[in-house]
Amino acid sequence: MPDLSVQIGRVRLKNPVMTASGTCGFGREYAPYLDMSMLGGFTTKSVTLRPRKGNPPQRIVETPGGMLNAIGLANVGIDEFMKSKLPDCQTLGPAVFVNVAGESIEDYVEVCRILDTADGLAGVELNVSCPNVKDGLTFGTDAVLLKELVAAVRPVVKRGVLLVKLSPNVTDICSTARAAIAGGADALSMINTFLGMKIDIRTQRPVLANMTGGVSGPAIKPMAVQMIHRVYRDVTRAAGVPIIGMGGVRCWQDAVEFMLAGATAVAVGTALFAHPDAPMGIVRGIEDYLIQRGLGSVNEIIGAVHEVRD
Amino acid sequence: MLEQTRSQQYQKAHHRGFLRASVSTITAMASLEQTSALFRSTVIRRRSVSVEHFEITLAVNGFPAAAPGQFIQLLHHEPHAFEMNQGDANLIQFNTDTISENPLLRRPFSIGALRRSGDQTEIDIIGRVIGIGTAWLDALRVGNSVDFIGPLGTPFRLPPKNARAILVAGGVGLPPIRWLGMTLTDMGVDCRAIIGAQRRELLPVIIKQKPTNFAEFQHILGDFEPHPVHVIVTTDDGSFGMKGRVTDALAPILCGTTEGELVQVFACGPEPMLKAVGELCEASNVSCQLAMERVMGCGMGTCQSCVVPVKDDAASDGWRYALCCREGPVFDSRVVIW
Ligand SMILES: Cc1cc2nc3c(=O)[nH]c(=O)nc-3n(C[C@H](O)[C@H](O)[C@H](O)COP(=O)(O)OP(=O)(O)OC[C@H]3O[C@@H](n4cnc5c(N)ncnc54)[C@H](O)[C@@H]3O)c2cc1C
Ligand SMILES: Cc1cc2nc3c(=O)[nH]c(=O)nc-3n(C[C@H](O)[C@H](O)[C@H](O)COP(=O)(O)O)c2cc1C
Ligand code: FES
Repeated sequence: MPDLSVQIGRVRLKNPVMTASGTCGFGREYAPYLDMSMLGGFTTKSVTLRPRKGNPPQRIVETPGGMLNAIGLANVGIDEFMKSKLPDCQTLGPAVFVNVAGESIEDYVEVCRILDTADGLAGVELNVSCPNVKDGLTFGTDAVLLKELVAAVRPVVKRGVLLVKLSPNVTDICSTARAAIAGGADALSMINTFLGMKIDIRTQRPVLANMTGGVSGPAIKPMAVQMIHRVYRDVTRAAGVPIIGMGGVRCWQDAVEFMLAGATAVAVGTALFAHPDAPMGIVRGIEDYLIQRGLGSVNEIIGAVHEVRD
Repeated sequence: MLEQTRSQQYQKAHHRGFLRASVSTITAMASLEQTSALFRSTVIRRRSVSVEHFEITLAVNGFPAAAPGQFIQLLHHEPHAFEMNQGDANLIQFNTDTISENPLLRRPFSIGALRRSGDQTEIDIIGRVIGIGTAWLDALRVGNSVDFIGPLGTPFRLPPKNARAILVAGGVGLPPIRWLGMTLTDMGVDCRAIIGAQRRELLPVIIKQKPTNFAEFQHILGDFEPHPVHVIVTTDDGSFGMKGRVTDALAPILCGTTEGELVQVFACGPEPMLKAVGELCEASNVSCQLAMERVMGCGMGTCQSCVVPVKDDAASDGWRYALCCREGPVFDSRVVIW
């Protein structure tokens, strides 16, 4: 049997298959369909300092090959999360990453400080696709601001690993990747959703109450592969920083493709809504692929894409 | 040819324990508040109900306990091999990228009736064709298979036996109301139904008998048979039954209830109708449960897409968003904020 375990900073995942933030709730919702303990890792929905109701409906709509969402970071807030959600997450089995969002650097620092008091967390993942209320810039699209945020959070994340989830809504993803690493990120998650919009031509109104949202699903997969590959080749390989790849993964073939591009682990998101049991087949498929190729460890396919050059 | 390959691959997936795994999880999760699972069912009956509505009956084994108001999440395409949860690197010659899978997301459908015999369960679905997903369902024929997840959501709270139930359905809101009517009459609860549509062709019911009296029709609809549900039909344009809206039929019934009589209203239909029914019931101080609809991403409580604003005294500002797929789809009319 090939070795499926991979290393994300100090944390060892028993296999490279995870679930993406916001697509598997707080871990119990899929229990009737998916044995959560078979996952390598699990990431919670974004948690913020104060509870958030989120955006008014309509919050999602299906788009070609994917979907558009504007949930608006609906969550119970860090205090309630620590009380009612975290104890449950800790019993799930896989490595648990808590995704954190905020409106200011202080928000992020405070949430991470509270999370660091919890036992048994693998780490935190910073969702930086949120606007900074102070200057209106999105943390994840401004390299200077991003580095400042990660550096501020770094000292309070003492026990778990610090993941930074990159936004694809940038001209040069390598510059935000470098900024996150310079700030002290242990690993990068990539990618978050692409900005998108849908207009109902009958009512001539945007379909989402929030007007715009984030595109996810198979439609964004080629962009995710390209971005992972670039960041791996130009930034993280030399820096020794692992990438958790996501964006349209629905089957083991996609997972293998992401790993060849440079991802150390792969997270399944939108695909879970239709197939909550998908991670089981993905783990099995990766294993079969390794057996068929005579490979002893899944680490052998990370970044193994052959680059054809003249 | 291709279809055959897919079904062979499905067999293989089956063999490799995909279904076994989900079934064993059900057993392990039997203590959970909500027990549902992934199923592969077969279409055993299909009929056209009106110009826009069709009905299909799905047969499935091992379906957990379910109750009126609950729904299932149907996959609206034949599952591809890669969706069958199998590994097998031999499948590498399949280019999964060129497999289109729209619609990508499952779609929610109310259970319109449910019958059990031994391990087998038959589930009726009534659908209205409004898009690609419902068109795919409409094109299904006997023998085709359908993947679904269920049962999902919180069902109607059943009234006590001595209550009088008034069921109100607008358009394709009929399915949960129909199953509720069957269940209640089996329990011995006195049931009366009001079924409304814009016009005759849009009534999602089979009209069995010519009406003799234009205000009320008893047992003219095949839908509730053999259940003794007294049915009133309304159409906005008067092309069938009583001219007007369901609330025009409901108001006199609520007015006519006597002191001390326990009346409960159950409704499903378009949101403006639910609001009107809820307000009418509140004015008459009658308890009313509404089966609501939202665009749903998952149906399982993870995506947070399906929110309904509800009153909640525990919230600092008196309200919160409730998930239609978990807390709902059935809500008490008094808690919904319109
Ligand atoms: C709990 C629940 C139970 C339901 N039960 C039934 C049923 O028994 N029979 C039935 O015919 N339909 C039912 N519906 C509605 C059904 O899910 C939608 O008609 C279906 O998703 C449309 O899919 P489509 O691909 O054909 O259309 P799409 O192309 O997805 O949509 C066509 C149009 O319908 C709107 N729409 C899409 N989904 C919904 C939705 N969930 N609710 C309201 N509008 C929507 C879209 O915004 C769009 O304008 C139910 C919905 C819910 C939430
Ligand atoms: C409904 C929905 C909610 C999401 N919520 C969050 C969130 O709270 N925080 C976050 O960092 N990413 C969130 N995401 C982004 C996903 O984690 C993931 O990065 C993205 O969807 C791409 O992967 P996918 O195509 O496999 O879904 C959400 C995505 C969806 C579809
Ligand atoms: S449909 Fe996803 S949470 Fe309700």
